[in-house]
Amino acid sequence: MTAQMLIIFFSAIFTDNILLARFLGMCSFLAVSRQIKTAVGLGAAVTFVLACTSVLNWFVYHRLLVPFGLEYLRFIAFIIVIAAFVQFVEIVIERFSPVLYYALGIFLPLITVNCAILGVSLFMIIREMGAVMSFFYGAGSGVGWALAIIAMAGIREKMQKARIPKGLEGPGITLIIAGIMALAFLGLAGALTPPQ
Amino acid sequence: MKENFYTVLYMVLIAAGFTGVTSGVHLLNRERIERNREAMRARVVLRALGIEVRRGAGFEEIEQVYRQRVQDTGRTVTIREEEHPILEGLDEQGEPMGYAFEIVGRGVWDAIRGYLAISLELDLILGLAWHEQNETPGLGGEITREWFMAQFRDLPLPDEPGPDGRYVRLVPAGVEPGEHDADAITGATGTSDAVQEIINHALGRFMQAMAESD
Amino acid sequence: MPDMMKKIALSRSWQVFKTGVWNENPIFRQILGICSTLAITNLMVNTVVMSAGLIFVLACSNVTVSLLRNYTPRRIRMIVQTLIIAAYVIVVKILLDAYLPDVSEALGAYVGLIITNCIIMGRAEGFASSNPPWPSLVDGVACGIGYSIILIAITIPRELMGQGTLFHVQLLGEWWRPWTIMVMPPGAFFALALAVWIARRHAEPPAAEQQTGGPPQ
Repeated sequence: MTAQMLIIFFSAIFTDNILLARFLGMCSFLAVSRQIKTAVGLGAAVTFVLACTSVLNWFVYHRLLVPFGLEYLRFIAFIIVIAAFVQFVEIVIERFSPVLYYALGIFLPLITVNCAILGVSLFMIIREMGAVMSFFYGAGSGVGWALAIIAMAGIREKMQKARIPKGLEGPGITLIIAGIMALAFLGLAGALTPPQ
Repeated sequence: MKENFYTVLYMVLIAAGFTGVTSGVHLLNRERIERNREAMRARVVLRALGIEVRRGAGFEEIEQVYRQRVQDTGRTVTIREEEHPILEGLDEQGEPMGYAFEIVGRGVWDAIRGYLAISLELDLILGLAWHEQNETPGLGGEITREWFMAQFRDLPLPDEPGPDGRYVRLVPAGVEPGEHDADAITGATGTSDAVQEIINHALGRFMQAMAESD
Repeated sequence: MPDMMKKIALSRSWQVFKTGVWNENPIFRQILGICSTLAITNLMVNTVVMSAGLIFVLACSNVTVSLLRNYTPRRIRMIVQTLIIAAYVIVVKILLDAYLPDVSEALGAYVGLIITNCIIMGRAEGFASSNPPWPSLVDGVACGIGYSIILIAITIPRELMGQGTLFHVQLLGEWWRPWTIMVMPPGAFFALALAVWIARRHAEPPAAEQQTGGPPQ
């Protein structure tokens, strides 16, 4: 049980990285990966929201939608849960921790439209995970996403002075680096054997 | 205050309206979706038994073939804590020709599910087909290709599993496959191992179930 | 006939259409909305169905947002738009399940992710919420088509080089050894980067080129 949770967690980070293998959360990845500092803030916020919403949505789906045969409404239900949760967190940390609010709060509105959040909830349903497993999957995906964006920000900071062909400046070169990173992560695929 | 009331009312109306519309579309198509889902599974059972339904066949056609060629034996086999019915495939004269049952296990990315068909004498794998897999396209995903599945058509089964507990093995390139072996997928060790495990685990359980029910 | 063409060319609808397909092409100009679709660009069949679904959702949500634009209270505008988009995505999902079950299975979670596609939200907020229904419809269809063109441009090399096929039809002979990497995730990044590069080199007007000179911000 525990081993399986750990494997889910680590494979969500490395072999099944939500960004590099599933392409989710690309918009903010391309836009907010210029500085390590902001990347860390956004990464932390995404991880937190992912871990919480995946569990919340698990309960919404299995306790509210399935009993009434309303599975087809899950898209609406999930997006509302995510939007409401993000709003709630924003209000809470604004009230209790202005420091944290200035560090993370500004990223929260960006998160509602981050496809990685909705994506994790949808994958969790398709893969028929349990509530605990959903939590580990959500947390792992968040850490994986954060890892990818922080690494990308680090590389881009180093490349500031590099001469890049004009057409590739900005998104173009970022995509190529992401491709190379995806290659590296792909190499880890064999490192985690699936639990039987 | 009045404005707030309007906002709430508007939100409720919009939500009700769109939920109504989507529910309507859902109800209109529910039966079709359900039958599609059943047909997709039926088709995999048939494929495992070596009965091909033409590509692009609608669910009605598949259902018809399925009714004629497959029946439930009433027996079950438990694989990974799931109870699966043992089905029986019939040949064109309506005579029993083999068993089919669902097999399941974890692949590299995700669960792999399929059906395995075994001859009545339990000495041949009649065939294998998948209905759920998310292996890497081009690598592990090759398990759905014809060349891979063809290896399991009429593959002889040993009377007893080998010393490693396996009935069949997936051997890597360069190794000459034995009588009970099939080629693994080059470059997709994870998927090959998973498939080998899924098949052997299921075979073990199935043989046990058959021995008990005799 | 030439008169007719001229008229079309000058009409507002055509302008809106052209802007949507090319001048403001969401992927090249803004690199938006690739997240939810890049993953399925390894097979033509999936890409075409996904594009059709996207165009449908874009057009419908644009028209609906536009029709409701004078009644929607400002404060809850975003949530209403999200609701509208989600409803249409559900409709697409149901129709796919009912009529194209194989493709629906292959697309998996990515159909649902159309909801978070920034382009749809962007067009609803940026165009439809301040324009009448007809131009909004044109805008939605045009943006959808512009988007689809790029997706298809990425898919062709990926499927052709990765598997030697297009629409599952074998095009390259036995001599072609498939580049598996093209159908795997890194292939998508490289294909998109190349597409963006080619488009920017050829399409950027000279004036804009000067502006974009210098290191990226």
